[in-house]
Amino acid sequence: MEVAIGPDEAVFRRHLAGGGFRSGASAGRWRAVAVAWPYAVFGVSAVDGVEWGLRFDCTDYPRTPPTARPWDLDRDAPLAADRWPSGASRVPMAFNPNWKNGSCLYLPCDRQSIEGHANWNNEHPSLIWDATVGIVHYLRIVYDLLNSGDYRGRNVA
Amino acid sequence: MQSIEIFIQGGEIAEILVATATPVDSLASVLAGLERPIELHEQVLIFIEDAHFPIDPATAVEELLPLCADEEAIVAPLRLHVTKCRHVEVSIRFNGEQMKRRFAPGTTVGRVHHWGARRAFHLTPRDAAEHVLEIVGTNKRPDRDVHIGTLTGGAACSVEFDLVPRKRVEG
Repeated sequence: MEVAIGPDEAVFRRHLAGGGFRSGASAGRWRAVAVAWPYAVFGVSAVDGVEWGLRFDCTDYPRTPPTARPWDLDRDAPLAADRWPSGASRVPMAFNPNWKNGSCLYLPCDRQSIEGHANWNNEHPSLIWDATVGIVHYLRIVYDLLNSGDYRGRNVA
Repeated sequence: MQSIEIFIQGGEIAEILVATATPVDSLASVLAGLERPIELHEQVLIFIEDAHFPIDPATAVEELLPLCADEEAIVAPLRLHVTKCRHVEVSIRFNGEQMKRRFAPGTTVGRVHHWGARRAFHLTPRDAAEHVLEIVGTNKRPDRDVHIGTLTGGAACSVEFDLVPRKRVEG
């Protein structure tokens, strides 16, 4: 029996089938690991070849921005705080395990982080969630961070 | 026969289109087979991503990919650009200076950024990675895999950028 999917999941799957997502996946920038609605796990490649897992909660997608946390792809569990990506300035601000107990990234495109940060609409307009682009927008922002001059690889405990 | 993924961008194409083709399909047939077919006429040119010259629409897909004895092993996608522009005039402003150069329309933003940041304005690799191209007068920062020809809107064959620092998100 075919299971009906909701409109939010239908839009999400349409975005995964679109050229923006598939082009990035084909170039090895990211991949979809698993979708168990409303959760979706992706791997995003960093400049040093490390693949970083992210688990998104996509409830009410794409009207409401998703929220994502670093994810241990081997253990299928939240990534331990001492193993989060490190960097000089922008990366550790975005990947801050002390922010909201590590439940999200400190980025304007994140549902949890944008709350209370109306100033980001003016300060970081290109990083604000764009429902028309969808999940690819969030993945591009993370990919750019992990492939920037700021990124320093995996934290060593 | 192996099916090959083809990504298509263009000045009048809003999103990256995806098609699948067999190795012997011609580019013209691939474009004609899209959900919204692209009709070829004299003014429409087809470029391979990052290539300088347009190609014949009769060219078979496999002729544009690395030669592979086992065609089942072809995994590289083909990336095309369809446009009426033969060149795109790009200008980049940075620190009160402006540099200009013509690029083929299928050139990626990533390649234009590399030229601007590293070659034109001589930033170090690390500093270059901390700057991004922003379309003048907007807050649009096109992704690195976007073809420069898509940013012309299909009208004027030119685009102007500012090279701006990536800001730290805080507060």
